[in-house]
Amino acid sequence: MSGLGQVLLFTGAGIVFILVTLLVSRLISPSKPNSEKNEVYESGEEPVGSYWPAISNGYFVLALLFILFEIEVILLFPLALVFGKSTDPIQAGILWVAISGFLIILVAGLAYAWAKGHLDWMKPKPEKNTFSGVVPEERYKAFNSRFK
Amino acid sequence: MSEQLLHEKVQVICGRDVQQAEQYSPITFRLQPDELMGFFERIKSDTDLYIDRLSCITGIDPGKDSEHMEVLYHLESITAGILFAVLISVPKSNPIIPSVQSIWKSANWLEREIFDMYGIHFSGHPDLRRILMPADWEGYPLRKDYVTQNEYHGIQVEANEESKTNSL
Amino acid sequence: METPGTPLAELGKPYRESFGNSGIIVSKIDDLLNWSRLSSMFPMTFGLACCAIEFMSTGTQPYDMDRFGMAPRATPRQSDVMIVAGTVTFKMADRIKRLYEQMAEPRYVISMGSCSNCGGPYWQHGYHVVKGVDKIIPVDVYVPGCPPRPEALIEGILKLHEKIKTESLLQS
Repeated sequence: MSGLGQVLLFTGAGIVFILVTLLVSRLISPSKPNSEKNEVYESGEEPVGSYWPAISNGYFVLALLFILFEIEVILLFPLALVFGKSTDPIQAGILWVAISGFLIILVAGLAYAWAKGHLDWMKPKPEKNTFSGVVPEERYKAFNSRFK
Repeated sequence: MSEQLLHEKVQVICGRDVQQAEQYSPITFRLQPDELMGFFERIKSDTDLYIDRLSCITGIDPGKDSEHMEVLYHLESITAGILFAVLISVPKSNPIIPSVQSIWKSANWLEREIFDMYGIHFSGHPDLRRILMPADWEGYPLRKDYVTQNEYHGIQVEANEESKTNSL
Repeated sequence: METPGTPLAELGKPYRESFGNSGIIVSKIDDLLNWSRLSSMFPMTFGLACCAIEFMSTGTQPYDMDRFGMAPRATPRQSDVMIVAGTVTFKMADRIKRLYEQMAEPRYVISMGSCSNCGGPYWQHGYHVVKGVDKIIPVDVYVPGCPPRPEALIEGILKLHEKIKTESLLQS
C-alpha cells in the first residue's frame, strides 16, 4: 500500500467514526423541543438582557499578535534552512538582506506593542476606601484589644 | 451605662418625658413617628452613646382587638456596650412610618421585610417591595387576621380549610 | 423466572413482551441503551434546604454516589435526573418548572425528603410552602425521610435504575 493510500485509509476511517456516532445519536435520542426548553439558561429566571456579553478588547489584541508572530515563526524555518545550506555568497547576501528586513519590521512591531502595554494583561483598579464614620477609630481599637 | 442613666439621656435628647414599654426586653422607649429621624441622627453622634448599629426591626400585631400595630427598633453601641429598643405605634387603618434607611443602611431590607409581612408602609424608602414572599402574593401573612389565598399560579396553596387562618 | 404477580415479575413484564414481539435485536439495543443511561445519570443538584446536606454527604466516602456514575452537574442542560432536595416555596416554584422544562429528555425527577414529597412539617401552617413538588413537575421516585439518610437516597436511586430498565425504544 502506498504512503498516500495509507493516509486515505486513515482519513476515511476517521470520517466514518464521526459519522456513525452522529447518526446513531440522531436515531436513538429523543427530541422534543418546545419554546420554554429553547430559552437561554439563566438559573431558572426569565432571561434578561442580551445573550452575548461585552467582550473586552484585550482578547482581540492578544489573538492578533499571536497570529502575526506565529506566521513569522513558520516563515522563518524554511528561510533559515535555505540560508544555512546556501554556499553561493551572492545568494547568501541576498538572503541575509531579506531575513534582516523581515525581522526588523516584525521586531519593530513587537517593540511598539510592548511599549504601549498591549502585552500586559488587563489589571484591576482597586478603589480606595473613603468611608469615614462619626465614631472615632480609637474607640474601636480599644474595644478590639479586649479580645486579643 | 445603667438603665436609669440611659432613660435620662433619651429624655434629654427627645426634650420630653419618654415612657418605657415594660413588657419588652431590652429596655424599650415609646416614641412618636415624627421624632424618629431626629432621635436616630442625634444618638449616632452623641459622645456618651455612640450608637452605631441597628440590629433588628421587629413588627408586632397585638391581635384582632387592638387598633394599633407596633414596630420595634433594636439599637446597639458596639464600643459602649449599650443595647436598647425604640417602640413606635401606628394605627392599623393608616400604617405609615418614615423610613430610617438614610441613617442606617441596614434598614433597607429590614423595612422591606416588615412591609412584606405586616403591610406597614415606610415613606421615603427607595425600593419598598416584597422580599420574602413572591412579588404577586396577596395579603400580609404575619397579621393576625390573615387568610391564605386559595391558589397561586394554579397551584393549590393550603392542604385543607383549617390551615388558611393563623388560628394558633 | 419469577412467579407471575410478584413485584419483580410485574416490573419485567414490558421487557419480556418486547422481547417476544420485536425480536432479539431491538431488545438487546434496549438493554444496552437502558444500561448506559442508568449507569451514568448526572443529577442536577437542587439542594434547597437540609436535604441538600444529606445529598452532599451521599457523595462522600462511605456512601459514594460516584460509583453509580452520578456526578452532579449544576446546569439542567447537562443533567439527566433532578433531585429536588428540600422545601419548595411558591417563590421557587416558577423556577423549578422552568428548569425542569430546560432539561433534555430522557429526564427523571427524584423527590427527596418530606418537604418535597408532601410539604413536610409545613403541610399544616406553611402558607409559603408548596405541598409537594409533584404539584409542579412529574416525579418518578419519592424518597421519604426528614432528611432521608444517604442509604435511603441510594435506595431511591436504585429504584430509579429499576424503572429505567423497563423502558424501551418502541414505547415513548
